[in-house]
Amino acid sequence: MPEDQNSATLINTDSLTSRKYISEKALSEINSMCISSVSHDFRTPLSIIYANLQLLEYHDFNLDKETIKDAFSLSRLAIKSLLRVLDKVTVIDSINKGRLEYKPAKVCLETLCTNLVKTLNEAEIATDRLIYNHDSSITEIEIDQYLFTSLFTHLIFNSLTYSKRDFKVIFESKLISDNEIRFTVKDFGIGLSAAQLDVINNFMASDEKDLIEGIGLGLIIVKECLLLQKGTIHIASEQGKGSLFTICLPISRNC
Amino acid sequence: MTKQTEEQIKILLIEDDRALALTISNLLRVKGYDVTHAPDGASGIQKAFEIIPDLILCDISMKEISGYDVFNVLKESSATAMIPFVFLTAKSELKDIRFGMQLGADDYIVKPFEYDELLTSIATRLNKAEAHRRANEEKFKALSMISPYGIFIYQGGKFIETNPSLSNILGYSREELLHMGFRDLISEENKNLVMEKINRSLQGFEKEIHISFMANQKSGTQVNVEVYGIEGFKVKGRTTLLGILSHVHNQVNEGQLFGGLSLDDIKEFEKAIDILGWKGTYISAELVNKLRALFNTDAYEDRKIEDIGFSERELEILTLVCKGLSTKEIADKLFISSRTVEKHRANLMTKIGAKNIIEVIIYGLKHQLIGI
Repeated sequence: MPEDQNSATLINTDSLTSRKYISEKALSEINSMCISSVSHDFRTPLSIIYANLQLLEYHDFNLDKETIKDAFSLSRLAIKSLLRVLDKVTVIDSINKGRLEYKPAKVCLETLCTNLVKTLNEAEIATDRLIYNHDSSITEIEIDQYLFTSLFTHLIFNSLTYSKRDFKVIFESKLISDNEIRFTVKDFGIGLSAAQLDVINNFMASDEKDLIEGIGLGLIIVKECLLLQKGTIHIASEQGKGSLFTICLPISRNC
Repeated sequence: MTKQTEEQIKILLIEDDRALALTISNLLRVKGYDVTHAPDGASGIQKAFEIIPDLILCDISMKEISGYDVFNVLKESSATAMIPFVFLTAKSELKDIRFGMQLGADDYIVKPFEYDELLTSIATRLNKAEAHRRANEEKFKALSMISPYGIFIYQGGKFIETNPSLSNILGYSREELLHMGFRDLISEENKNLVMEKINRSLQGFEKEIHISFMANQKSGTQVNVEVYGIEGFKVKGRTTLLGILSHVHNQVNEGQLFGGLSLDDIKEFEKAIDILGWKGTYISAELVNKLRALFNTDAYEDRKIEDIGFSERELEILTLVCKGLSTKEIADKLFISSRTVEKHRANLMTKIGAKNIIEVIIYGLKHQLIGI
C-alpha cells in the first residue's frame, strides 16, 4: 500500500476537546495562514498608530482639538484591531493544540451581545451599522462566554467586511424552545456563490480536518466554537443580495 | 490649465480602510492640502473624473477594483492621464513594487510610512508635474507662434488662448479676440447651426468637430473659414475646445493656399513639426524666429545645394541625421568614428548657417534631400 501523504496524526483523544485528528499538511497550512494573516492584518493598524504618533510629534500637539482627538481615537481603534488579530491567532493555536475547551458559566446574554456589538461598531467607526435585537424573554443563561464571543465576532466581522458600508448588519437572538436559542446574522452584502457555499457546507459538515481549501481562519474558528457548544449552523445566501447565517445553540437556562 | 495660487492643492485618496484614510487625510489636511476620500476603486475612478485632483494617492489591495485597475483606467483617459499617481501599499515585496513601477506609477509609499517621506513624495510629484505642465505649455505656445493656421483654446463662449495667425485671418488683435467668442465672428446665415455644433462639443457630446462657415473680419469683409476642434483639457473644471482655424480661398490657386505659403511649404512645415514633436525637443525662441523666417521669407532659398558644395559624405550624413539617427548610430552605419561624424555635422551646420542640428534637418527637408 502506498504511503498516504495526508495520513492523519493522532493529536488528542480527550472527548472534552474538539480536535481529534489533524493531518500534518493541514496543520502546516493553518500555520502558514496564521503567519500571513498576522503579517497582512498588522500592517494597516501599525501604520495608523505610527502615522498618528508622528503627526502629534511633528506638530508638537499644535493642532486643532478635533485632529488631536482623532489621533488618539484612531490609535486606540488600531490597537484594538491588532488585539483582534492576536485573539484570532490565539484561538487557532488552542484549536491546533486541542486546548480549546467548553467552560460554561452564568452570563446575562443581553449585556454580552450588546458589548460585542459595541466593540464591532467601534471598529467600523460607525455608531449603528451593526444592530442587535434581543429577545427579552432571555435573561441569564449558562454559556461559554469565550467560545460565544469568538464565534459571533468572526461571523459578524465577515458580514461587515463583505457588505457595503452604508448597509446594516442585523444580529438577532430568539428563544425557540426551553433549551435552545436561535441567533441570526443577516447582511446585505456580496453574498456567496453556490460553489463557495458548497465548500463551506462541506467543511462544516465534514469530520475530516484536511478540508481547508478555500477556507479562512475565521471559519475554522466558527466551526470549532460551534462544535464545542454543540450548536448548528445554516447558511442561506444569494449572490449580490446578501447572506443569512442561522445558528442554534443549546443552553442551560436559569430564568 | 493655469492654477490660481490661492487655490488649495487637491489630493484624491483612494483607500478602503476607513481608519487609515482618516489618518492620512488628517496628516495632509494639517499641511494645507484639500483631501477627498474615496472608499473603493470604483468611487475613486468616479471622483478622479469629477474633481480632476492634482495628485492621487491610491491603496493597491482593495476588494473588487484594485489600485492597479484604478491606475490603468485613469491612464487611459486624457483628462486624468497626467495626474501624478502614488501607490500606497502594504506589500513590501520587491516584485510588487517592480510591477507597479512597470505600470508607470510615479511613486510608492510602503505602509507603515514615515510622515516626512509621505510629504516629500507628494511635494516632489507635484513639482515635477508642474514643471512638466509648464514645459508642455511652452512647447505648445512656441508651435502656435509659428503655425500658419489659426490656433485657439475656447471656453465658456470666449477665446482664452489665441495665436498670431488667428489674428491675421480674422483681423482682430489678440486682446480683442480674448474678449470675443464665435458668436461675434460667425455671419448671420451660419450662426445658429454653427453655434449649436460648438456648444455640443463644449458640453462634451462631440469629441471632435469639423465645421466651415463665413466669418466676419474686423474690416467687415467676409472670409470662408474652416475649424477643426477637439475636446481639450479642463480648465478650472470646465471643458475647453482646442482647435485650429484656417482660411479657405474660394478660388483655389494651385499650390497657393494659406497665407501665401505653397502646399509644399505647408507639408514641409508639418514634417518639421512632426520631427520636433517626435524628438521631444525644447524649442527656443530663437529657433521659432528662424523657422518663421524660413517659411515666410524663404531666406535660405538663395543658398542652393549646388552653391554650397556638400561633399558626398556630408550629404550621406545629412540624410542619416534627417532620419533621426544619433551620432553613434551614424558612425556604426558608415564604419567611421563618432568623432568624424561630429566633424561632418559641424561642417554641415557651418555651410548651412544653422545653429543646431534641427535647423539642419529642416534645411534637408526643405531641399528635399530626404523623404521621411
